[in-house]
Amino acid sequence: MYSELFLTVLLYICLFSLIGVFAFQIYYFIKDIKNKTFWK
Amino acid sequence: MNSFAIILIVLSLAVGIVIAILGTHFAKKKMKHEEAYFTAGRNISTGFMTASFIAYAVGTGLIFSPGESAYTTGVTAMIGYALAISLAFIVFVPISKRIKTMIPEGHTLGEYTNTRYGKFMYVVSLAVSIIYMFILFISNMIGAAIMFKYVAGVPMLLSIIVIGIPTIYFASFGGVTATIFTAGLQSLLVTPLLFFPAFMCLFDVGGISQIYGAIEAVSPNFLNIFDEAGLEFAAMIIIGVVSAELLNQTLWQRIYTAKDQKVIKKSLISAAVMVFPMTIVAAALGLFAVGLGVDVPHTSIASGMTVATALPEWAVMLFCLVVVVAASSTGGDALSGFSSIVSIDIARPLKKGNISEKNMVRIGRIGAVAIGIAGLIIASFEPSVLQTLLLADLLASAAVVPTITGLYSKRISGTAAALATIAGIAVGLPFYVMGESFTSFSLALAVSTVITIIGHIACKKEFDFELLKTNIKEL
Repeated sequence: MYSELFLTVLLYICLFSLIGVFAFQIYYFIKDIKNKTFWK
Repeated sequence: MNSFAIILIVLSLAVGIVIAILGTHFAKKKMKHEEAYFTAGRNISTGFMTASFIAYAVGTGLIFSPGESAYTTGVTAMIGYALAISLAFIVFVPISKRIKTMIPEGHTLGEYTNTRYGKFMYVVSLAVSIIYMFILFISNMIGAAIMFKYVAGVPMLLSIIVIGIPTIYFASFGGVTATIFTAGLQSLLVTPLLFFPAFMCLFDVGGISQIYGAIEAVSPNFLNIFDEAGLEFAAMIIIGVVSAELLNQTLWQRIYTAKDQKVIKKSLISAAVMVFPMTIVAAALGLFAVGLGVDVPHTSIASGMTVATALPEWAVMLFCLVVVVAASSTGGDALSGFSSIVSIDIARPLKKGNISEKNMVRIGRIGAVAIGIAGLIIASFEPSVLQTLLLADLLASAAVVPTITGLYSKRISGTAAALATIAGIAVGLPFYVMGESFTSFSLALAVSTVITIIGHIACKKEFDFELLKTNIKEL
């Protein structure tokens, strides 16, 4: 059986890592805009 | 329609129109040469490439299907789905390197099968690609429209038109350049729009212990790690999704648009890491539906019904906008991939290469519009999102080994590859129809693999890999 603790840890880690995902997306996005590679 | 439905339609239309206008405007500026319609200038860097992989993965395939599998099969299926989506990107890393090295000036999967294998396998792989792209498009439209129907009472056809028309517009007029640009915007929107409803849901229902206890009482097998149905589903979805992505024209096209292999590798790995938590979060909403005893009129929208039941209207609206953005991004990818197939894989060979670049873009646009409209009509009949995607995955399971082997083996012939694919489909399809998806996927993969190996051993003639470089050139 999956324990309650396992599910709790999995869901909370995944949920809050979305903040990290968003931060990375912003970081990459700004980096690309600065590099102007896609904008040429 | 009530006021919630009207606001939902207006907001969805506004989001769709803004994204479509920005995408096509950007593509227009960027498209100095017709080639850019299919390859976006071959200079996409890591940020947009990662965003485009994420936005591609986060269609209704991610928002709804994992939730549906968690709702119908449990936690093992939920984790299996997330692993499948991530693994597909990881497995694609070495294969993408091979593709980029062997076919640096390519545009489509069909170009490769035509040059490497000849007409027979070319027609078979083309059929698989077209069906896959079509299913990818309609499944995204279906998912969004069903959600709108059951959450807000919006007629299916109206939702499909509101989401579908802007998508068809930017994908057909802006090509891959517009879809990559809009993917960048969409991936930025999707993450917070997914986070907030999921976060609120988790706390509004009283935390995980409430959900866990309720699931344990109602469906204890859903919490069993070794639950047979869950394990079968996990194995099947990993085979299906990984196979499908390896043959996906959208991903092949992305490889050709990337600046270099380093960008592809970094983007695929980043996307693999990022989509795992996104899938788990989306799937967990489906699992919550079991624990909360949510009334789910259509299993495809178990996640959406959890949100609609547990959260206030404004949060439901946010989740609906995630669905619009997700459906539009993946639907646009499918149409953009399809437009390349129509002009490069179908029109160009039919005209024996005697076709101007302008006309190729024109044909690609007409093809995308035609398939988009046909897709909207079929989507209005509302089949299951998961079942529709599984059909596409079955075809891919049968075709993946014969197709990819040709990138590495000089010896396998086109006839052997085509027969392996057809035999795989023929063996797997009856089991799919009977609802035994795991058997169908496994058999399709096993049979096509065995025939491919026999073909490799039996064939004496060797293919010259240099032909992939010399025959596949820019437009």
